[in-house]
Amino acid sequence: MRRRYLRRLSAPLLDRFDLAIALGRPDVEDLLGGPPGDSSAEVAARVRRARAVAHGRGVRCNAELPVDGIDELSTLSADAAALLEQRLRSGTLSARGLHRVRRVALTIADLDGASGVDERQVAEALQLRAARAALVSGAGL
Amino acid sequence: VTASSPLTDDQRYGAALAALGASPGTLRRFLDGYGATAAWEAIARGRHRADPQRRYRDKAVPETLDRVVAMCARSGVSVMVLGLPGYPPALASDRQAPAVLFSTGDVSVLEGRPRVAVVGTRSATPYGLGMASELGRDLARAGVVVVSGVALGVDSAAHAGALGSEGGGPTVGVLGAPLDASTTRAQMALRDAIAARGAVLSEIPPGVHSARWWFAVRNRVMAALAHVVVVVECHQRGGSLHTVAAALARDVTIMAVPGSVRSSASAGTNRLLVEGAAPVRDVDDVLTAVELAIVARPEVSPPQRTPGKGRSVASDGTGRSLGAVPNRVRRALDQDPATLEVVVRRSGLPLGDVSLALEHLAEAGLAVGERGWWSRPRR
Repeated sequence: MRRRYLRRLSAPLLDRFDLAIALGRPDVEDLLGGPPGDSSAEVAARVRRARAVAHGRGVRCNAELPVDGIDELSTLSADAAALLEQRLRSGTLSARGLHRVRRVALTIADLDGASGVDERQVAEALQLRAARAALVSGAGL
Repeated sequence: VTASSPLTDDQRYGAALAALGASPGTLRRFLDGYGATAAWEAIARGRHRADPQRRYRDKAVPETLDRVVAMCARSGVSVMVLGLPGYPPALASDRQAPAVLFSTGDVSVLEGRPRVAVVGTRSATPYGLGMASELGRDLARAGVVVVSGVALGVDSAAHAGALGSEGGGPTVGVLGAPLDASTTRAQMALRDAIAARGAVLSEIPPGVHSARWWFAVRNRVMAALAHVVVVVECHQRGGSLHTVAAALARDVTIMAVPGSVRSSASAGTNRLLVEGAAPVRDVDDVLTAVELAIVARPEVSPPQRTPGKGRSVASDGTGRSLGAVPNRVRRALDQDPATLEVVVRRSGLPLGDVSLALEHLAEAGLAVGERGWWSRPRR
């Protein structure tokens, strides 16, 4: 009985995950000779820059930003706000989810070296949240 | 189906079959492969394969039919038969869906919106009543349909909270008694208020004496309708646990409101939490679970889609009026679901552009996203 609950228990726990990505099995061609991605050094430099921006806000990383500070620190473009509003109204984004998506979108903007958060960064943050459902159901796809 | 519209033959005979007093399973077998009218005639002639002992033959007489039809008309009760138009699609796919369903109000409120069952004990504490009312109110404001019994205590508080909120309701009440069963004046008023904004359902025909076991049986209807079941307060062996068991059997998320460990009204809910049900502190916890339940069950379309930015890429279905980026992303999708990573690689576009295009394509119905996997919609 206990195990059967456990399979569906963890919605609030899951809500603590901001990033989840569905991964397929890589193609053999990709493993052997796909186009090279960014080098680790390049990625590390980007992350250091983004962390430095977060330090400027008085936190180690954007996940630590207080809810009431987000509006001030991350200005949303009108398109970005409209996209979030639509997801909230459709019930596919919770209030708590909203704050988390905004923090992730801000981090993506920081990595991009952008000054404000635009629609694409919000969409990307939403995508990075979409795969969480796979964690909860545990069923194959 | 409005209460005033005359019943079709199938509805009249469906109601009459339900009035024979058979169990829900037998009633389904009566209709299965026969249809209501033919099933009635076969039972009346003692030739129905689901009634080999002819136990129901003596009841399948014109008086039974006339009485139940008259009772439905008098109480303004609609009749819905599984498999026929008017039966709520939200319930029809359940393998234990009632073969015949009676209702007052408008059952169409069940469709196209997330549904949360808020259940609990009749003898709730002020804490439980307050939580039920607050959750009802906040869920209604979030556009969620609250489903509950219409008993005293938690049920009533949840309905009242949802119906009383600004822009609130609708709610759906599931009775374990006939729709015309007498009860207290306050409960009657609540039933009327629910029917005025939503619907009250029962699988027991009007005019039939209800039996205690119906209350346990109807819990499966609440579980079948709900995307998430929230138990507010429940004693160690409370009736809400029937709903929990029915929800478990259907893979419906179960949540419970934590209570004091010294409160017997929270003994059942606290045990659910120990066993792994997710705790509910406020509406946000429930909405998170609803969000996940809907994403995990993509046949449930997220409700109340308001026209947003996505309209700018809405198309005639050929993709011609799409922008260049969404079009390229759309071409990168096929019938087999692919991960975001694969869509990015196939399209050759940056992750941000692909993410935004997928949002817009999904809103326009041109892409289907399921737990991080993307594909073209099936035709």
